[in-house]
Amino acid sequence: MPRDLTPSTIENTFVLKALTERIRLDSRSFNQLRDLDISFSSTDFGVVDVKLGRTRVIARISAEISQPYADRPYDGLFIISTEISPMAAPTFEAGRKSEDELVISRIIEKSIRRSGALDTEALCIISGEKCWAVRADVHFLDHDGGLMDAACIAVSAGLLHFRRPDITIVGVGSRREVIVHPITERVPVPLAVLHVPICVTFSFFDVRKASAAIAGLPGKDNMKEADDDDVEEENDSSTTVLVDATLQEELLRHGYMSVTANTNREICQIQKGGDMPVEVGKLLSCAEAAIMVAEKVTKLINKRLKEDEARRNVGNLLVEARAENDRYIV
Amino acid sequence: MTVLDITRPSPASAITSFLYRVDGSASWKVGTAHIIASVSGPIEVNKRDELPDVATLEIVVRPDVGVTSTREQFLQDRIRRVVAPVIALELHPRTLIQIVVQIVQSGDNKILNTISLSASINATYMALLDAGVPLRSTVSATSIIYYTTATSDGSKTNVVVDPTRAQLEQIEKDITSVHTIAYELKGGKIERLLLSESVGSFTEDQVFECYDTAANICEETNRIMREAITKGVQQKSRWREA
Repeated sequence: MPRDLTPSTIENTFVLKALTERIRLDSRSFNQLRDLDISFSSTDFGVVDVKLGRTRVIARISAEISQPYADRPYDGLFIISTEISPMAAPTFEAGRKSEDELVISRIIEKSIRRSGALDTEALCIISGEKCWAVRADVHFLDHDGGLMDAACIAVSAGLLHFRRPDITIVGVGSRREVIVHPITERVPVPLAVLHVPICVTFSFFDVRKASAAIAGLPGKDNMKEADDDDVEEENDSSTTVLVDATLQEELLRHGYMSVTANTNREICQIQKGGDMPVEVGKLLSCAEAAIMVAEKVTKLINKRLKEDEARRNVGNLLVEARAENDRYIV
Repeated sequence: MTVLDITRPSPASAITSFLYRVDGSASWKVGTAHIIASVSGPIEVNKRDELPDVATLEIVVRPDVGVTSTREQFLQDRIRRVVAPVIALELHPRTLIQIVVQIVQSGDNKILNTISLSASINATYMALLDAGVPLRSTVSATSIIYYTTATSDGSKTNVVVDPTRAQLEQIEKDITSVHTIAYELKGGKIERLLLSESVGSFTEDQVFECYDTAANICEETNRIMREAITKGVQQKSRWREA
């Protein structure tokens, strides 16, 4: 497979010309997300399948008992793995980390782990000796842009969906034992999720650069382009911002910003990349837009979680069997 | 020799052509196992991996949970043994046929690999078909597990095919042998044995019993694959009706 996905010049100029005419190739508006579909496995907990347009990602949450780090005896472990296989696109090599992968894994780390979405103190079993080690494995099945957005949604939804086995500690002092109850014996317990981080990526296009690229083309439209350019300079909107870019848009963008926000109107992380300076006003309105997207997506996650619970919980037996208090998340 | 007292195999289902960046994709679900396979090829190959007379076959297996371990290496090796003779590699020299098997839900417990293996083989085969890679014949695989149960006058040997994880958990401690069998089929009928992977303690009779049982199951699996492929092709050809 050709080692990079650079689009052809024709594609390049076509997409950029469309943008100068305020058109996106899939007819979305500039701040519209693609169709988002979240589904959970009916047999296992913590298996989430997220489809963001054509981008498809599966997250698997699992937990096993392990030893805590020596310098953090009261905390459990939480690891997120975001390895991309050639299934997502043949340009990814198995076993070799591409630049994209590094960026994605860093942003997911900041968004979910560093922001404390999962309470690791609640994972402690016996301080300094035993704790839960929670793993989130993200599998990228199809790459059509927005891999980190989809991955963030998948892991957040997975953490909410997952149930770990209930445990009992018997004995005292050094002769303490941990009994892990199989899920057939005792109702499994949800994880302590403190907030639901949702990542949104904004792609920036420098309209003047785009117009310049098109200006080289023959045709009478050229004159129109020059006029439009002047108008836009006057209105100082030389930056076009697209929300949730497809792969094609991602490859052609001049810069990007990923904002992870939650429904508490908090920003968990911001990452701005590419080499295009953007004025502050635009960035702030992007952050505001990210919060709105986070609210919409969190609502959808909760809706799907409720539907999944209803499917599993025919007759409300599980609800009756739970001994813990309700958790209020949103 | 017929097999008696066989527990009904779990229903299997398949979907194809759902991934956009690869040439072929298939999802195989059997019991609690769910495997997704993708195939890209023939595509450009690295100079160092290039072979002058045949296509290079790259198989990557990704686990559902955790880091890649020797288990994935084992699965990759067995899948290669089944699939490499079936693909007409000599038709595309100096190219790469890249297969990625993503285990979404393994269906196995911590010790066994059999269900992942048989489901991966089926998923890989359907993905190869979907990608249009030239193949010599049809392949299907199944898992057969022998276990004992206590009865009033000693113990009885039972057989289960493609068990769900719940069934596995029930019989875990009583499993005596585990067999993964893959057949080559032509015209929906068994032709040759492609894989016979048996672990545990078993008799020669049991092995032959396995081959016969697996023959029936594989023919059934083949029918399920045909239905899924037919549906896929009808879906892809619906522009013709317009």
